[in-house]
Amino acid sequence: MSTKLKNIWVIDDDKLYTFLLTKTLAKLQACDNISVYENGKLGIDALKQQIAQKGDLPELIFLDINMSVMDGWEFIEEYKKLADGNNLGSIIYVASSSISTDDMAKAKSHKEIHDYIVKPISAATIMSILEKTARTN
Amino acid sequence: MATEFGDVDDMIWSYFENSPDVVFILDKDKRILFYNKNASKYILSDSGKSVEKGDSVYNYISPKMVESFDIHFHKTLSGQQIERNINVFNPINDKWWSVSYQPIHKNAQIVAVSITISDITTIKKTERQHEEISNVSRVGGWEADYINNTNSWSPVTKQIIELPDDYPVGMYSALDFYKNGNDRETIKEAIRTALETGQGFDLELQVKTAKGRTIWTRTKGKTESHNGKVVRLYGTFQDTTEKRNIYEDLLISQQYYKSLFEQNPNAVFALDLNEKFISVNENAALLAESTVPDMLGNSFAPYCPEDEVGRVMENFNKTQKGKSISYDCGFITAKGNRKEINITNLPIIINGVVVAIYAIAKDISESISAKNQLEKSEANLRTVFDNTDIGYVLLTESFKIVSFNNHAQAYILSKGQSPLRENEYMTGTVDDARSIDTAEVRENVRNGKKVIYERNIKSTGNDDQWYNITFHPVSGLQNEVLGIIMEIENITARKKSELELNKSFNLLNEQNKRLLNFSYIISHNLRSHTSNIKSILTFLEDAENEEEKAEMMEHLKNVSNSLDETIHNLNDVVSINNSVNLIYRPLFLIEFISKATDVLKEQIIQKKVIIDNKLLIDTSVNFNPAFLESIMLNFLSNAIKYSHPDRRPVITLDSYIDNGQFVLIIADNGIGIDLEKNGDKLFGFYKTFNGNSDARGLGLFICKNQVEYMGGKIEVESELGRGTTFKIFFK
Repeated sequence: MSTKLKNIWVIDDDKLYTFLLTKTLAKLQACDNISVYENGKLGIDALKQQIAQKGDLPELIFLDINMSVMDGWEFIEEYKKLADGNNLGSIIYVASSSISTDDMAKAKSHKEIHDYIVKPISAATIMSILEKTARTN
Repeated sequence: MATEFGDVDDMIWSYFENSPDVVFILDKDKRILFYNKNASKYILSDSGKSVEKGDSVYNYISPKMVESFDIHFHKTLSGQQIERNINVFNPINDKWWSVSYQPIHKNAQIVAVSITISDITTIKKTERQHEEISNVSRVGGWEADYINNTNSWSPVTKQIIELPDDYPVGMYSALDFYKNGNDRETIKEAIRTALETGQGFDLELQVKTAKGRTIWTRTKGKTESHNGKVVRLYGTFQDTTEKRNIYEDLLISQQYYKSLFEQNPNAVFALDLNEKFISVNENAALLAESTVPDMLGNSFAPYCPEDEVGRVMENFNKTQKGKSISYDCGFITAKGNRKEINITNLPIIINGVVVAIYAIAKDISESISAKNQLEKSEANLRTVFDNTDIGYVLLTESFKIVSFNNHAQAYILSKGQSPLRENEYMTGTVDDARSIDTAEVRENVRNGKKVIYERNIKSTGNDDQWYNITFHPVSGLQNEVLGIIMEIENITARKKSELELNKSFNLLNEQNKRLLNFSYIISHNLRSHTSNIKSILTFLEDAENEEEKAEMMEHLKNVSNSLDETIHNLNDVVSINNSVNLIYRPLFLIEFISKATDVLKEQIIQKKVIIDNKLLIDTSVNFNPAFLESIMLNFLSNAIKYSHPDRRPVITLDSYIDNGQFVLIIADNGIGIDLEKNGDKLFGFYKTFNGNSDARGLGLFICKNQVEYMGGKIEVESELGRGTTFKIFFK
């Protein structure tokens, strides 16, 4: 069973983190394309563009919480509006360095968020997420 | 005149003429032959006419009397002597007259009639009185005749026994009326003795009348003897029930008085003029803790407290002069205990002379001590009322002032109202600030509700005073409102500490927020670095070549620098919160502005920033120098950092005074902040909020903490795309 996905998006403003995550995903040959967006707004804009062009939507999104312009929570609200009750088919993982239980609880309250993972994301974690995502798809 | 009757003696004539009676002599034809002086007077006063000899008597007789006169006159002419009594009644003087008709004979022939009218009123009245007296005393008579063997009872005797007048009397049946038992035996014995010895008797015995009433009677008996033998027994019989009752009443009342004396709840005693006890009742002995025999004949003096002897003696002397007197004094018992008594001295007067002193003493020790206690507790209550820290005004239901204490008065005066006065009405608004007026209070109080509010009085001299005002309804047994108690409690101290508490609460809240921020810093900023280090280390371990290793080492260096910077910033935050006794002094703002622009010189030149300084050269604030340096640097660098790319950045520095507080304005024409979206994050510990990846989000957070630590605050106004204005309020 292939665990390789087509598109994985990373929405995070920590450049070092995105660099390292991208490198890990490439090493694992997790997907064909990795797209990085520096904040929620850029992520949403990209989603809108893909929907408009009937392009490929990401199967998996790693979403940070603390970002400027539009944070992770705001992104989720916008994502809900965009989906308008429909499943856009993306599995969203909140990946944050925060170990605050408040953030974890908040993440659980959104059904759009599949799970909350604390950074750094190990290769093993990525593997299991890929497996799950592939199965879902 | 005398000649017609022949030898009429002058003396007889004189008697006739001067008789107290009215005398007429009429001939057979009823003409007046003679009349005496009184007759003339009588007729004159009766008929208003002067009498003339030879006149018909009819001239002087009232028509009513004619008929009876004729009858009597003609009877007399036929030889009868007539004497009759006439009662002429008039309301003032009830008169009795005796009228006698006397035939006058001459040669065995009746030739004339004399009429004599005598005033018998006095006799008649005396008679009547006798009758009345007899009736009242009800003395009857009785007799037993042993010769003729007859008994007789007078009508009164029969009346006493309630027998009809015609009751046939027998001696023995008489005895049967005496009450069976002792009374009957006594009378029988008395009669037997009388018959044997001739000795009389006088007995007070009870009799049962024919109608069954029991009455007291007095039976007196006397004997009449003939040849040594009693032949007749007679005497009186009298109803003495009333007398007896009076006597019994007397006996009873004597007992009453005796028991009144002996059983009197008060101590009662009599003293002779030498203050020696001549009679003492049991309670007096009890009061004196002695006995009646021990007290009798002894002096009152030892019972009198030494310090009161003078007063007591003076009062005794007054009583000896006939004056009744009542007073309180001490009393020393035989056992030496002191009691408080109320004593009333009355003189005992016999034949107008005070012979002794009667005294009634009441032990009032308890009531005195109770009274003292009551007075004491009343005084205590009053003292409490006057000296309590709470002001009280007692009001009637209609807000009439019954009483108030000093604190209440002070409160009213501090409000600038006219002083409270008893019996005056508390008018108008009770509390102007809340416009709680008497009507509202009354309405609530009438419904049994308390009215409570706080009142703040600003005073010129001292600090503000805070009062807690409560109107309590005072209810009676039927839940009716009897009055209102207004309670005024000065709660300034409490209020102040409450305000202080609020302040510290806010401070704590702030500190808590900072702590939350701090934990945020830990969870986000520090964690992000450590998570990156962890990742890099993984890559280092798995590095396939030297080139990759070197790249990772470079990343590690960068992370290390970022971590160092974050820790430095954290240290700044912690140091603010630890600077307990921070120095502050007047600082010239200009100095610190130039310091900051010096540091930012490169960027200012690069971005061609205009600094428009409207501050006066000597504008100074009382602040900590290090804090001010950090604040100026942060705000200016932010203003430069978030400058608008389409226009030349202008930073305006200005100041104004708000409510005595110095306010520094730092305004820019930069990109602005969407406060609605990011306002809450603005001073929080976020990395960035403007999309500027090199922004130091920590800066504002630190500034805010520093300003607040110095007792000031920061406000922000901003419009996206147009600029931001920060206002720093210095304490």
